[in-house]
Amino acid sequence: MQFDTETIKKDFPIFYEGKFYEGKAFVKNMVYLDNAATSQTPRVVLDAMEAYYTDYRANIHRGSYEEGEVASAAYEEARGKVAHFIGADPREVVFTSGATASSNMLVSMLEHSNIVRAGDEIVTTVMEHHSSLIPLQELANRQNFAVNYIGLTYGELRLDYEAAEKLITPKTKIVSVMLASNVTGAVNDVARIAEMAHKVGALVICDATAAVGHMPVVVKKLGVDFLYFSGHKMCGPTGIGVLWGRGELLEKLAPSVYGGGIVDEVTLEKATWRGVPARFEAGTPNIAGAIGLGAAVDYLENIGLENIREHSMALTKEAITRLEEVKGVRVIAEKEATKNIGIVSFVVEGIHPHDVAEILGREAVAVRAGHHCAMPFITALGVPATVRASFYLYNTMEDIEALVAGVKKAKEIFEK
Amino acid sequence: MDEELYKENILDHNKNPHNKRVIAGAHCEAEARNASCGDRGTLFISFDDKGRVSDAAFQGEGCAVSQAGLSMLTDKLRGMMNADLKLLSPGDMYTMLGVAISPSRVKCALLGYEALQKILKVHKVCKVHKVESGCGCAGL
Repeated sequence: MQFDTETIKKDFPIFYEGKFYEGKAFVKNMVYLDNAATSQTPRVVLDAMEAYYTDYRANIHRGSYEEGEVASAAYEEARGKVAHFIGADPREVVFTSGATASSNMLVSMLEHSNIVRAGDEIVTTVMEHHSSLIPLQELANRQNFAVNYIGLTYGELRLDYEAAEKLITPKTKIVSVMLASNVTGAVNDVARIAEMAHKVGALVICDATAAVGHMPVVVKKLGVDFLYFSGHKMCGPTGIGVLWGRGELLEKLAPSVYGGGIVDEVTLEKATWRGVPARFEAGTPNIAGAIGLGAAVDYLENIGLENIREHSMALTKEAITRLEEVKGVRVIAEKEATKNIGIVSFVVEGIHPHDVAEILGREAVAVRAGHHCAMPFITALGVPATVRASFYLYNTMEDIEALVAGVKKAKEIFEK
Repeated sequence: MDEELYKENILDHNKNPHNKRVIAGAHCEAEARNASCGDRGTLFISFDDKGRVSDAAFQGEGCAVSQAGLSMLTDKLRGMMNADLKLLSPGDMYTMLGVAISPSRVKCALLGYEALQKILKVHKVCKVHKVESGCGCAGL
């Protein structure tokens, strides 16, 4: 299909002209380059969620009345859509409140199920987001075992796969690696790491938050055992996410969050668990969120993940080229666009990243400055923080133009 | 849109900060951090026999607002009586910076102020223990 951002932009109310918030008009139309923080919501997703609230709101898997049945079917249909989207079985898809909840739950499930024991080792990477890193660190501290980190190759800022070969040993029980970096955009060779891990019998966890919805992701191709992501970075609503696990592994795990909906039988002494995925979804879930995520999947599939990926690559290439033309700008990103998910970090000599972001913000160019919840990575990169521009399907070459113009303006202000 | 935030005085202090150095053996020092941004600033203060600030300096890195704020604060502190330090308020920081501070920049503007508050808390501890080595509480 012809990829037309002008048509795509019309799908997103936030880009409509003449918006108001509490009676006050926004001064300028936003150039939104903060997609790695959260993406915008297309009208079809809002409509799907509103339909639940207005037409058939009821709790799921309980009420024996029409609305309840419709709601349950819609929730499970959304699970089916998400499963198909990542090449998985619906029974392997657990809805959570987001990637952070998925990560914490998973680590807790592994711990509660005695999958990890004292003396075991974890291998992860210096690139990881705090949401994947800290649950593993805390687990290691509780159980008194080591976390070893796969570092970076010099200059290219890619994972050091040769070092990984040495770090992953028969003592390694868990290997956790992110699919795409939310700082440099680097798409990691997760399949390669997974192969190393499986040779020694370790489980492989993949944080795919920056990647899902931005490139085709097929869990079986990656060869991982668990994978998680958030809905809100792929045109879905906030507060919904996914934890995927290989069916036979999920079957072996005990829940780590307890409540209604997850039990077969409860006595005063104990409870027994339902099958998967119900076992891992205690309490009333984010029903509207799941339905919204299902609608987001439909929307993205309709446009085509390959098309979105190609569009992001073109924007990434242009952004890197144009930024590097500005004197004093240092791009800190995966520079090969085919290996970059659509995220470009950079620093400007003599201007702190927050000042760059502030001046861009005043030009209505939305970017982010800081450590992007990846402090160890930022430290490894040797900078206090970066400015990060991140792209998605509705961004245009004009947006890159606005970004570069804003950076030049920051230089003008600080150099006068 | 206005560039009010980056008025000349902030840019000047950022480019040529006042008192940006370490005071070896300072009577008091404390570091404040803005975890979400990575801004950091360490404030050093020394007092004379009468409890007057004889020297104030800072070290740090961060955005122009945080660094200019630290620079201006050290100027302000010099010559102040120890007992008056606790009277300084966030409002004084905003006045010195001389620009409207948006909610997202409050932490930046108050980085030096936060460091000062830490110093004042340390003083309280010292007043009780009186024997903390190296902390010349200057009678606070």
